[in-house]
Amino acid sequence: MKNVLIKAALLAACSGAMLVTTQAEAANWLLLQGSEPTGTAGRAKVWGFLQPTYQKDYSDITSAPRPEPTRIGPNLENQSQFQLQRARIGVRGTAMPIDSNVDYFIMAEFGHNAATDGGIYGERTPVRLMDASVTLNHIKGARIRTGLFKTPGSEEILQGIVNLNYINFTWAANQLLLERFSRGVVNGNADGVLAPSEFQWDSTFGAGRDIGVQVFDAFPVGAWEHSYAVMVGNGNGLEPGRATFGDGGSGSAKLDTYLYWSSEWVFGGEGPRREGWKSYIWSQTGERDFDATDDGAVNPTTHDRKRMGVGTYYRRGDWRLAGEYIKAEGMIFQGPEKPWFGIQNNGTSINPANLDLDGEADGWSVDVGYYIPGTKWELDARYDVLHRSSDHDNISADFKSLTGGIQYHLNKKSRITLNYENREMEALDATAPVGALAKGAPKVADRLGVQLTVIF
Amino acid sequence: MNSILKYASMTLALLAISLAMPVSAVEKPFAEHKVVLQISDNDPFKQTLVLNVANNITKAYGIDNVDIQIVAFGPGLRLLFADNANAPRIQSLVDNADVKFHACKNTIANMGKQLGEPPVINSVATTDSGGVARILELRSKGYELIKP
Repeated sequence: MKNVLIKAALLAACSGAMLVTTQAEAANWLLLQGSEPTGTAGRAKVWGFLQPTYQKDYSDITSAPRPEPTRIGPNLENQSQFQLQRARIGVRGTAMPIDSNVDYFIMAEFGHNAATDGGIYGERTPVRLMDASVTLNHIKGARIRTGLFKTPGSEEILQGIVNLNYINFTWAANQLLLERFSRGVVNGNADGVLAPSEFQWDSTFGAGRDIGVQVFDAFPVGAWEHSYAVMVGNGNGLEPGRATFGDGGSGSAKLDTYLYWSSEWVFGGEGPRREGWKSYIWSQTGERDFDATDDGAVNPTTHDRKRMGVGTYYRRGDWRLAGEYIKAEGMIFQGPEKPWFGIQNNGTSINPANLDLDGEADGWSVDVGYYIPGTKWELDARYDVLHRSSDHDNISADFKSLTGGIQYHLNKKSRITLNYENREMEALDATAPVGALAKGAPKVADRLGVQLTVIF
Repeated sequence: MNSILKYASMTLALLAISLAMPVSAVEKPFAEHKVVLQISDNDPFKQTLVLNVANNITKAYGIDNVDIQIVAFGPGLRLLFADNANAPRIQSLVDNADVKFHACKNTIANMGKQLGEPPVINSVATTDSGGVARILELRSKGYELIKP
């Protein structure tokens, strides 16, 4: 963790040292999502996007227990399905157009994804509020945003989701950053071994969001733009209010803290496809309470949940290059049917020895994109790795994906994305307890996806 | 000699008057085309549109052949707020195309009542008259009114 911080600090220092004199005018994700352009925003701009999707998994694993990646989420019932992965509509603007100091942003999800459907392990809701925030711009250099919104962090999650060049997230972003919230309360029968029916999810996944307050801003310095964000939040994702242990959730008495810094050498343009070279570092720290003993008594223990990362993003002309490293400590997620962060024994019970409440994981990804000049075609390739529970021998596992993508841009607001994911999952220890993930078990195979994105 | 002195003093007086006038009030007497662009809408897209039109007219006729004045009043005054996101484009039109900007003094006063203090106006704009009065004045001088 310390090494990552040092590398990131050096990266940021180098960025700051290379100042040149031209003017940088465009915004970044903090500003694009958290504020409106001064003096030009309307009272209410209605917008949104649709992403109908088809995915097919080619894994040849038909007997239980089947790893979740062999089925299509969020419902995890079939190996192929059509779904309306996202259908969002929102309104944003400036409350009083002649006063640019008060902005707002509200958006709802009508689509079918983990925010609206917990699948076979959770509840389903037809609509989910995804964003609802107000930004006060009165203090120069310290804008204040409060409400429900994306937390400052990984570029993959923080970016506007319609700008994600792939249908699915990387392994690390999906398992380490999109938090799943358990109830934290064990209602076991005190036999020392929990059956799946004895634990439950508290809510849908976090969607990279939280309810809280954030201070942030960006500072153009010559061709460079430096941005920061400091946020405190409930640590409870999309859920309204704060669910602590005893209230049906797993949050501790301590609020989550988010820190973010980025420095970007801006080449030109503006908006989501601004050309530049950005380096960034972020961290998220919180605590979760969890009763990990099935002894009939309520005796939760508090566990750190830390996430941090460092990354870089380059876009110029027809090329896009990106890379990010993510490190996680505590509350290492083991799959959607295991809310208490442990591995099941053949789908019937959980062995406390397989918990990873204080474990570690890390992952990284590299991404390259090329827009073929004079055409509407864009080519993408991404390689990503997750080392899960890397310090926990009997449940440690590696996940790797090589994703090839083709995007055909119908126009500036619409595109078709074709992805083919070559995937590998493997338990690293011969004593790994899960059949489907055990060493030498049948492999999780490739996945095909086709998605239409229309922004309005 | 007297006539020379008289001529020189008149020239100096005219020069002094012209220097005392706001820069943007100075019109181009030899321009072949005179255009006044009106922006009075709240729609943010209209801000971009009016600046685009000014830029395109300049490109089409050349800087010396066209005199463009942009008059903002009502909700459209936001274009000339000092912190407007389009301020760099406005400055570019002033510097490179000699476009003149005028902010309605009546709207400034009315917005000041709503905000508690007058909005800070871009320093490139003149504010010495009402927006509609300015348009009428320019039309009487042969300017064509365009409302993008």
